[in-house]
Amino acid sequence: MRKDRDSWIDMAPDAIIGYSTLVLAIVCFLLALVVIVAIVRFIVGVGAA
Amino acid sequence: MWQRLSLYDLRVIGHYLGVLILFTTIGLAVPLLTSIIFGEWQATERYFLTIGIFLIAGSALRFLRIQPGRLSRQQAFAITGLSWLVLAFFAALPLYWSGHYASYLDSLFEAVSGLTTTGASVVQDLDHLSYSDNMWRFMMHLMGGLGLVVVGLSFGLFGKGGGASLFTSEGRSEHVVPNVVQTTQFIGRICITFIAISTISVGCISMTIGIEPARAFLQSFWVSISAFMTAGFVPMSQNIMYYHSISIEFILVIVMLLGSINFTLHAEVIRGRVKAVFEDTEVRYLIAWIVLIVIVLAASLSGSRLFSNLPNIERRGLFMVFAALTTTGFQNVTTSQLAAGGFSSGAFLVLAILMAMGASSGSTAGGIKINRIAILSKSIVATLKETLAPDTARIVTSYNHIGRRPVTPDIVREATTVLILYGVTYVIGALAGIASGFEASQAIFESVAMASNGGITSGIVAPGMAWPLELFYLFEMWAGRLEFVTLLALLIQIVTSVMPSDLVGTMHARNEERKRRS
Repeated sequence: MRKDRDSWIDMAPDAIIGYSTLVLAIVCFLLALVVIVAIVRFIVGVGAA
Repeated sequence: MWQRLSLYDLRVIGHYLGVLILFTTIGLAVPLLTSIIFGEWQATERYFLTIGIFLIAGSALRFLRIQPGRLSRQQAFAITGLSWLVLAFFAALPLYWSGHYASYLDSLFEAVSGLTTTGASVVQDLDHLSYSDNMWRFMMHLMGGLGLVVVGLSFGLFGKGGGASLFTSEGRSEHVVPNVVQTTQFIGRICITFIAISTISVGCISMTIGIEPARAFLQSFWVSISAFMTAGFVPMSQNIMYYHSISIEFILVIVMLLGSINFTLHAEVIRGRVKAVFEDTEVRYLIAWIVLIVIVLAASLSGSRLFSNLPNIERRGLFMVFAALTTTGFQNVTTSQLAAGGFSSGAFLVLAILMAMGASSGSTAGGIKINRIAILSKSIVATLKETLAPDTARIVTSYNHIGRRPVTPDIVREATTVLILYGVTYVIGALAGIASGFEASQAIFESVAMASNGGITSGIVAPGMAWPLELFYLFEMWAGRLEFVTLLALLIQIVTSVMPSDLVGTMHARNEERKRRS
């Protein structure tokens, strides 16, 4: 039990860095999708005109 | 061949169902406490009564004495398959007594929808449902999302035997760590951590938009459970639109995505190895799939009646994509906007396809799962390469999941089997909806939402719906949660066990004769 608790505490810094990186990557991906949607909307709008 | 369940098998199954029923009483303590804190005394009576019924039923079943030892595979399948339905029967009781459900069948549907993390609701007057009843709905999401058997395994309810059989029979494909109990405990810790972080974030934002603190944190706790478990119940009838908050929708999208990532990849991230996530074949296919589908949806919505302007496509369109992809089932558009022309028919179908495909395996998400699509795609490419390559060439196909792994015929067969079973279920469910008088597109959408445990409803699932269709959707949700194989194995066991022994013996003898001749 003590060893298990230590290992979770030991992993905390790596976990924080890992999840921060992952969440940042997700946010960047979402922003990229926002840009893609804007481009598609523009193309469809131009096409319709 | 088909093995019959013996009387002893039935005792073992009954015994462990009793154990699970008794264990679920702990979950009931949460809504009971909620009712006491908020002074909902009628609900307190109901939950006391329900706990009593659980304790009596569970204890009675535990009187079935068994020998300590390993669970056989057949016993594991039966326990897993039946536990969802048996627990739902009991879990529906306090909901039915709340007076917010038209019939016991509606409350059973709600319980199955909660436990299977589908999220389709038939509650009446949700906005005035008591805090304790809402707490019970979301506790069912939490228990069901973690996996009823998984929760039991993590607390050592099943002793030392049969852990692996139970684990895989509940649709869990991978062990995060070699030990099954540690894997289940790991999954539990990850879920609780993210739900806590999400609760605090969404709760703070809820307070800034004017919701009083107690309600803000209760509702944020509930939607956080729903988001990370990719489940779908919401505490208010307006769904996520109730909050009118882009920030909350943004946080929920991130939480939904985190919940729909394979738990073995979570283990890698915790160890600081984030690269493993981006090198994973399933994640790469998922990213490509999302980009493709967003392009199609954006193009389709551009021609819709209500959502053709850019802000609406960005906010409503993208949120619905992730709600459908992760099979969560949140909605920031109304059901009538979705099904009755607000969304274009193309966008409507895109959401159905998203739910049908689902997200990552080994996560809380439902659907066929992207890794099966990835494996089948690689298998198709390998077949084409073999066709075009010289006879002496040897084509080896692999995929990346924490290291390179070969695509073997067994893996391809499993993926194909599950894909076909999902497809057949989607079609049969659609036919059931059409036979009930609904439009084909709506019937297909609803069938997919049930079998994939997606939960976005186009209006067919509603209070007072026709009971044959309701029963069928209930079965679809159950089958989808167990990914069919467990459920089919259970049904075959039941049929084989109730058939006359001489008929089973004749079939067995014929099979043996056929094998001997071949």
